[in-house]
Amino acid sequence: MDDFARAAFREAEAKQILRRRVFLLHLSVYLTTNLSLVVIWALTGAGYPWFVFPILGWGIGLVAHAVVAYLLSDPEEIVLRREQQRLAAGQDPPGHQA
Amino acid sequence: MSRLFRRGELKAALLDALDVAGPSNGYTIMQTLAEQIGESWQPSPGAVYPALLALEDTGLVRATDRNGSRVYELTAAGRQAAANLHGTLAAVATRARAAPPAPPTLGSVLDDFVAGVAGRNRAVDDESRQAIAAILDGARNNIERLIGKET
Repeated sequence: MDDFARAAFREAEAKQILRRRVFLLHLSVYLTTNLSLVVIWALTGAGYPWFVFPILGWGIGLVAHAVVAYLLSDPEEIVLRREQQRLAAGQDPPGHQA
Repeated sequence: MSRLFRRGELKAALLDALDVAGPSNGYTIMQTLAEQIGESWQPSPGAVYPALLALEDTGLVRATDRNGSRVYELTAAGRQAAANLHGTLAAVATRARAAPPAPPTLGSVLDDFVAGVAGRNRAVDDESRQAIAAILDGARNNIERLIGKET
């Protein structure tokens, strides 16, 4: 693997880390906000559990964000991952000459 | 990566660049692209390398290890494809030049100023340092007043 390939792998890794950190930030905002709503609900007489609606509504968005952060990949990332697996297995891509 | 390239255009532009530059390593290919397209697009290994791998997979490009560097060149099929796609790089470059340039920021103006100061590494005595600090303080106040008016 040459410097150019290493730079590409580092860039993809940095992109993935950033995407996951943004999701974790989203998760922390979600938890803090919704916990506050539950506390407000409890302090105001614990009547009808209205806090469930923002938890569920926003939860759908949160799950979608988690899928993007952890499960989906750009086409470039898929190609790089395949190359990493090839390198780990000691194989060369088609057309490669040592 | 910028959206300057439409679907499949980066690969076509890489074939074009390899046709122009001949066998080259990744950084040279990236430099060829950057020179042709201009400053409005900042190429990165994270975008160019996967495209080169994809071209290798399809048999249009062949990679060879030379002195610890991977050198890419067009195969016969790649030369044929480059001939068919000839002009892609020029078309992207024309589009890039037509796009309005990003407006400069205060930071970029200041960076340009600092980079343009002659004798940046020269040592200064205490008296000169105080005089320079006074000039810069005055400039900062003026700039902040100007920015304050705009916002």
